[in-house]
Amino acid sequence: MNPVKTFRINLPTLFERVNERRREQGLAPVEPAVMAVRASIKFSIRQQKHMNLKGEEVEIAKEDADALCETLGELFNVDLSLAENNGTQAAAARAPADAAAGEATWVLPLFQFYAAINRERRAKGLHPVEPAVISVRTGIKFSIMRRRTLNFREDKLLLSEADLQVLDSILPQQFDVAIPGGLVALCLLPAAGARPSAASPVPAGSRRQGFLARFLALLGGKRNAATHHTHHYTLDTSNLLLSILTRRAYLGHKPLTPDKVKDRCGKALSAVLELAVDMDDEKIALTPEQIDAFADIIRKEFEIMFEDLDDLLGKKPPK
Amino acid sequence: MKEAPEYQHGQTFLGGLSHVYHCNHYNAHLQMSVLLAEGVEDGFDPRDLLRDSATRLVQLLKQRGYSQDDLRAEFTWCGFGYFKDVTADQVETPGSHYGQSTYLLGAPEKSCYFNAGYLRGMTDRLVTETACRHMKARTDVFEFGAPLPPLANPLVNPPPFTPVPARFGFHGCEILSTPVDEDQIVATVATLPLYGKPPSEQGDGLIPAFGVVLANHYADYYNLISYEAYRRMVSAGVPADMAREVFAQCGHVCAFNTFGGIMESPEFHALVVPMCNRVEDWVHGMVAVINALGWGAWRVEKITPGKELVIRIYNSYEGIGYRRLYPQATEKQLSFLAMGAVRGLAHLFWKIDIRERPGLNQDFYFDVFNSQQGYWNVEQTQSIAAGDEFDRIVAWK
Repeated sequence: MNPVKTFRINLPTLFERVNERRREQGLAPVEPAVMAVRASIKFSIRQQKHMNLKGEEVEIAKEDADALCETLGELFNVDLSLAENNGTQAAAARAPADAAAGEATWVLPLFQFYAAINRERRAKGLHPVEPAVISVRTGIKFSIMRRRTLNFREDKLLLSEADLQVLDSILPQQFDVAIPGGLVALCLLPAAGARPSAASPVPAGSRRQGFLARFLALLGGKRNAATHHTHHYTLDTSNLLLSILTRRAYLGHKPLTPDKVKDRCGKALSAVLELAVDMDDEKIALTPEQIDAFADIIRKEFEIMFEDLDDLLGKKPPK
Repeated sequence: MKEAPEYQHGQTFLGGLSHVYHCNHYNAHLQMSVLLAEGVEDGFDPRDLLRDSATRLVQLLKQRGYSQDDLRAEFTWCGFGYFKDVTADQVETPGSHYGQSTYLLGAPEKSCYFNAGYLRGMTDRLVTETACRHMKARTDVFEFGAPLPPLANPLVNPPPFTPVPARFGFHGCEILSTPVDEDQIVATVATLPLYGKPPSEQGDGLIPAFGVVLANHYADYYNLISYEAYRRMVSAGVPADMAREVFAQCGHVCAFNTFGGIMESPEFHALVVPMCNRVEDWVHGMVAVINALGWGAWRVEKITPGKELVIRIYNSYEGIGYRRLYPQATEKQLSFLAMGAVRGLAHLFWKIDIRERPGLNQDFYFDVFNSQQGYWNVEQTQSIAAGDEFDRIVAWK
């Protein structure tokens, strides 16, 4: 039996974000107290239960969180068009309705997809499979099974839950692995705009967290222990540089000076992640998402593979 | 051996069938690519295609007068391993190219389809693989069942061979000289013991060479399984470029392992490298070796180092093979192996530099050779399958 997931929502932050969306639409902001009262009433009618939205935080079940999001949308016109200049959050705002209809669109970052497959393969003592092979083999099987194609030339795939299930079934067959919790565990925020035609629910146990949980996380709400932690990892800069140089040498690449590696890392982090990172610092702090993205940057910049940089988190350099 | 190999039109023939050298990596990836076609249409099982294609060719050999002993001897000579009788209804393959040298990336399954099909062709009986090294069995075991009728001959059309021009003797050739002596290389490679030995000669029927395990395979087997799988995938709605890519990747992995292994080998460095001054000469040296593999007559049309490589193939085993199986094609990009191999050749020189002997292994392939960074494009502009005189493969960065 799956435990009921609950979410702890920071209400002032949530209301503030609703007002930001209203301002973006040229609408007047709503006083938080008014918002709280009206939302409380509407929520009570909708859910047949009372919730006090005047406090700092509220801890609610996923179903109630979905209802709250819809309530706020209806009451304060925080609809999809509210955040056209912010696709991610706009999609998140729309997401609960999609989720409720079982037609969610999920974003699967391809780098994480490849990395997860190879992480599982390594765990089984199997050789890794290069992304070019994974993409074409998965793409063909998917085309056969779903009678439509996926675009592996992008950085990510947009998938319905039924698509995810098909992909989950392809992985053991083609690569002898299964991703713990299913591929949905690798998915990011729901995609903007796309609505897959087919849908069937992902088994409850395999769903990592709902749209609203992510949306609320974006809004600054704190998540409970059952959800994904957001914290920073610390990368030792000199360890990182040494690992890049060692790995390149091991693979027979032309040598680069540490300064050059440092310079290219700094520029890439700045350009891609918009982070002002001083590579001369002893350590740099990155979120898990940034760590993944940084691993991708390193792969492209230096033609070496660190699947998720876990190897560099205070451990020995990879061989 | 019933018959000695014949060398004609850039191809090698045994018992009237074209043979080509390929490595275990190519065979593994090609088989996996064919298996991808599972589910394309009701009633089609790619495993049957893999088995039946072998059966059909063995039945052709029997029509040419091959006995069971001849077939067993050819199986071994070609590097597929050897059969050992266990009972009247059971054989095993203590040496097996497909059982020992190939691999699956997916869930393990009994996957010596070629061997099963070969045995079926030999005996005209149902053959079931009951144990397989891929499933961690000690050896691969095959059991004979009910008699089966012969299958149809797939080679329905005559081969459209064309005369092969001299190395620099064709219109459009942009390279007019190299110190590389192709005739000497081809003649020397032909003396290498690239055949499987039976246990009576202390062999296991395998051909380990250049860091890979080779098989002197039936070209028509490759063509049958590739084109049937490709055709069905495309009919089922798989985009042609995607289906093509999966087969071309087999050529790419082959180039890395076999071409790369050859160019890092002491033999290559003793025979070919002393003839080479520039990277262009290395390309000619490797192409000379390819011309000993039975793949057709490869000709280098153009090399712009680091930018473009153009190869023509007269009497390519894929183009000729396609025409033997099917009417003239309406699409040109059908020489999948050649496309992957030419791209791989370019990568060996200009994505990495094989001349520096970087040391080839799985990690290197994964991280560098097949990474998207610096990947070359490839296109087939002329196609024997589509009625052209030769295959022409253009790789460019």
